[in-house]
Amino acid sequence: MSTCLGIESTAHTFGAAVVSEDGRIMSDVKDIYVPPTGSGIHPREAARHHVSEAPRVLRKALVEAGISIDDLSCISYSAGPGLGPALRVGAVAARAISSYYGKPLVPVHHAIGHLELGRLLTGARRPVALLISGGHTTVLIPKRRRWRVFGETLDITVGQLIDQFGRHLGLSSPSGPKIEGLASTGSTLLELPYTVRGNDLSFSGMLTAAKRLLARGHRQEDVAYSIQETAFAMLCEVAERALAFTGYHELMVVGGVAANSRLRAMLKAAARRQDAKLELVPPRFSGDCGAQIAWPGIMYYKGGVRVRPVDANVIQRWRLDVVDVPWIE
Amino acid sequence: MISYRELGVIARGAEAELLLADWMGFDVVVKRRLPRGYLDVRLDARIRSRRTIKEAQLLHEARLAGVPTPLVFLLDTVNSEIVMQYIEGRRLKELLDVHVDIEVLEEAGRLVGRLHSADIVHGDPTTSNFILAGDRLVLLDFGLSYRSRDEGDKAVDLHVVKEALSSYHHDVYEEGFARFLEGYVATYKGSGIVMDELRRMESRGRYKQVV
Repeated sequence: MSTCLGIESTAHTFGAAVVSEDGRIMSDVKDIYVPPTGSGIHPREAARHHVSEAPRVLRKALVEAGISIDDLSCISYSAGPGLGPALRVGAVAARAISSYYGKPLVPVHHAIGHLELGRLLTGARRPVALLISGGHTTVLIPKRRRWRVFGETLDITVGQLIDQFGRHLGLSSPSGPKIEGLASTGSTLLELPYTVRGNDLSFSGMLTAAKRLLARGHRQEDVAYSIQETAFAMLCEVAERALAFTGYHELMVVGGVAANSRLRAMLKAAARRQDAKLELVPPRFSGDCGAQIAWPGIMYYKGGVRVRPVDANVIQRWRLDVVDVPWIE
Repeated sequence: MISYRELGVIARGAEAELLLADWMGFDVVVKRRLPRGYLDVRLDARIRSRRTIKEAQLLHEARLAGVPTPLVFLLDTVNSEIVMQYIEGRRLKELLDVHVDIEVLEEAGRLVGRLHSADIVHGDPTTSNFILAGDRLVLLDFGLSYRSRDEGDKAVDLHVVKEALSSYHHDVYEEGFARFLEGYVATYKGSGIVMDELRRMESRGRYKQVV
């Protein structure tokens, strides 16, 4: 049985996991960098965190899986997109292990990792996928060896909208859960721009408008409530449109923002309205983790994908719809 | 409250349903935006009524710009309904399937050119949204339309036409799109910049390999 050690280091999280070719997650270990209250992630500080935690996380992933490096079939790493300094830590670790132990090296696109781990864990076969994280707000359709973009944000992501609003309030990052808490006690719907262009979305105007509402003296709770209601309604609209367009019967949601319970309830109703079932990735695996890199890693490995350590680079900006995913029909 | 008699459903989409109805002896089309029960009711009502009003306005403005569109008879902003003229004819999509004079694509290009001259972006100008009624080509469904001077926004309209022709009418695609552009260039002064923008857009990012 082939096994793969996957290394994730795109942003806050340094993660390592061992996954077997039949899709068993043998271990999944991570450590998350937490920036100081009121500030966002600093790439250099995140990288420093990853460097100091990497040996412990990697060792623990192997011990929990009950496997030695010699018995692994391959090493995969998150090659992008993400923060350069953070990505390079994972790539360096992967190159070192690969060349020292003579193990094949496989690069994986971070977002493809979210999507494919999502399919593995939910059992969704041919879903419309909603990828909502700090780095992505994209509606996708698997078709002809690619994840095809149906609609996406034209500026900032939903994760950035919520995080930047939270930072504006002086909350520590990631501020999603705190914003959700605030929103649950809000009740007045304030007007914010609802921007859906065809199948694409825009959130930057909403962030500016929300800050202006605060400056005018509106309650934090009401502004948070209005942001959630408006932004999530936009997401649901595009998801519904994709379901209607394709006629697919599964809506799969992956990425950290899926942890929001109001959003989950709305998406469930939106899916039902289009005669589809909502498939959610367990919270443990919906954020960044090593398993999302290890699972596609083993699939690519079986398909013959390899990269020489000397060519194992990282790509900070990398569109996911240019990446081949040969096992998608 | 608008009084009409429903005769049947024409189509049901993600956002709205289209009904055939009888209103004072006329055949009419009713476009009804359906509530989304999972939204804050205030937000849902606001979105639906604004879009209904905007669609009716743009249908009218397009007509003033020389683009034949269905006449708007009635507007119900409470129930989010537009009652408009029923256009008897065949969709361009069906006509291209059964082999029609390609001339009609030049007229389609003229309509989009006039629309863009008026700084209106259609948003979904596929071959399903043109109907040939007698010898008159009519442009339908302004549900995704908006006002914009931006060449990039207008270029997306051209891209949608191109995609529709190349994926559904491949046999006439090349000549057809060339004829479309002839009509477009003839009616819109800014066409050159928009076509440059289309080339730029298609050479990068997602439009290089869409579904």
